[in-house]
Amino acid sequence: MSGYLEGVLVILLLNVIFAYAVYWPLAAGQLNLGVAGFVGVGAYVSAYASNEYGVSPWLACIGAGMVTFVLALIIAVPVLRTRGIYLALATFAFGQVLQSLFLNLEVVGGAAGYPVLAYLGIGGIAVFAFAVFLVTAFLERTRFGLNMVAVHDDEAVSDLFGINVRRYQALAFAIGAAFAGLGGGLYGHHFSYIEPQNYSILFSISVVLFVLLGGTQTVFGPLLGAFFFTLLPEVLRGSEEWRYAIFAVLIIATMILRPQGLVTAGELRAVRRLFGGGALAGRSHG
Amino acid sequence: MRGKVKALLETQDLEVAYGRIEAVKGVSISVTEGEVVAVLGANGAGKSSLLKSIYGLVAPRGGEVRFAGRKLPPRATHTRIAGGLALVPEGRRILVSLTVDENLRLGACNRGDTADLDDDLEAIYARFSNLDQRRAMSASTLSGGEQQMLAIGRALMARPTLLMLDEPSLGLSPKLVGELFELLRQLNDEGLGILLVEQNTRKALQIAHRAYVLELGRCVAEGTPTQLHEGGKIEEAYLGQDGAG
Repeated sequence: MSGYLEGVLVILLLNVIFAYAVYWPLAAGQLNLGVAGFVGVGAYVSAYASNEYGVSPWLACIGAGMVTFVLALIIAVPVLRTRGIYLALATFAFGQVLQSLFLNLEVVGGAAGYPVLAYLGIGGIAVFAFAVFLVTAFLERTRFGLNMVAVHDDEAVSDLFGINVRRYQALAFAIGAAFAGLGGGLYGHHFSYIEPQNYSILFSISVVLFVLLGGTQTVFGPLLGAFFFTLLPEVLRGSEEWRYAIFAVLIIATMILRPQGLVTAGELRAVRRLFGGGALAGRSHG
Repeated sequence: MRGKVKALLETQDLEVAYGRIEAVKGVSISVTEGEVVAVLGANGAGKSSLLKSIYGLVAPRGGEVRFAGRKLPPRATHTRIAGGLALVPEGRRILVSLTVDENLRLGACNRGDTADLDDDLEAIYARFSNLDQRRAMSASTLSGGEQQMLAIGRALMARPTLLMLDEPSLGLSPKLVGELFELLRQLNDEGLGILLVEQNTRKALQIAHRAYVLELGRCVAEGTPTQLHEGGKIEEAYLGQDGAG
């Protein structure tokens, strides 16, 4: 595999993980604009663990996900008291706080950045990205996933059926944060260097953008969004400086033509009916 | 009154207030096992607020709710659904991004025993053949009447002993209203208790064993449909004091 291709693939795999980090809260009706903060925490925690304590990069990355999971549960208590645009602002503020924290933490290099000694290749990242997709796809088919959609669609009705709405919202937020932390750890261990500038609001926004582009109704939306967003700029590379303009036009066209995202639940059902003759039969077809 | 039969649901001096506005001012009602009870009254009489506080969607300011002999805590809907109390909310509130099948399954989302869940699902489909044909379709494709059937089916998935319905006939054609009440009568024949909040007084009194009439948050009359008709209480509640002379 050429170095260029491998580089693009790694970014793609990481973007898939980040996409699911944003997808989970969105699936429960929350716009998390602080995902970069969780990615940063994961990157620094895992780098520190493997640099200072010699923890294996695999364990360090999984541990980073656990740390951000717990952190998100704690943060969820005040943040999830807000709704809609205020929730987005609260998560945005949280992300900014974390970024300035990284800038001022001398123990991990502050503004100068922090080198990561241990290395994790593309194989490891692929395993984790696949696992993140599988976990999401599995949870979506359980009662847990159904309840999550209910919470997203209508909190009052969910409450009516005895679903603990707050618990589901906090869990969605925390599962997303765990994936963000995991992805952050993988990023650091692959590129061997992390710095606070990586974890800015721009990063959060671009991930949110490609998840919305892919669609938030089904588990395939974020996957498609990540592919689209990672590969399209590369495909357009030939057109030199025009590529960003073309990319922007394509994004706007998607928003106009496919406001629900590239894949929607209704279409997925139609495809399943086509191949299986029924929802249940369709499920076994995958 | 069925004095000897033990009440399944009972409220005692229930009060509900939104800020300084008192919607329910001390209402005591009861429903015995297998009974159909209607709560009647004009707009703003406090019918829906009464239902919501029984179900725990709003916390009552005073009084208490007892179900199956136990006092229910305020604001804890899962205790209701787990205990056998289900609510079909006003306006149906179907989840349109889900399929018919998923909507029904949602009704059982708090049930511990999932073993015979599929059997219950089939029983619902056997009852509502329209839903059976549309299992895998989005619930948004259903007509208003079918959505009401889905909302009732969804509530039945929780295996209630008492079903509460908030204005189920709202927005349905006269023909569908007839079908709806026929369904409620059937469900009651099978032993299900029903507490019905309804503006369609005539229809409600055709199936109710007893009814309460609310006016501005207070219970002004109760009794069997015949008693209420004879006493002119219904007209009084809807038309004001002058109507009764």
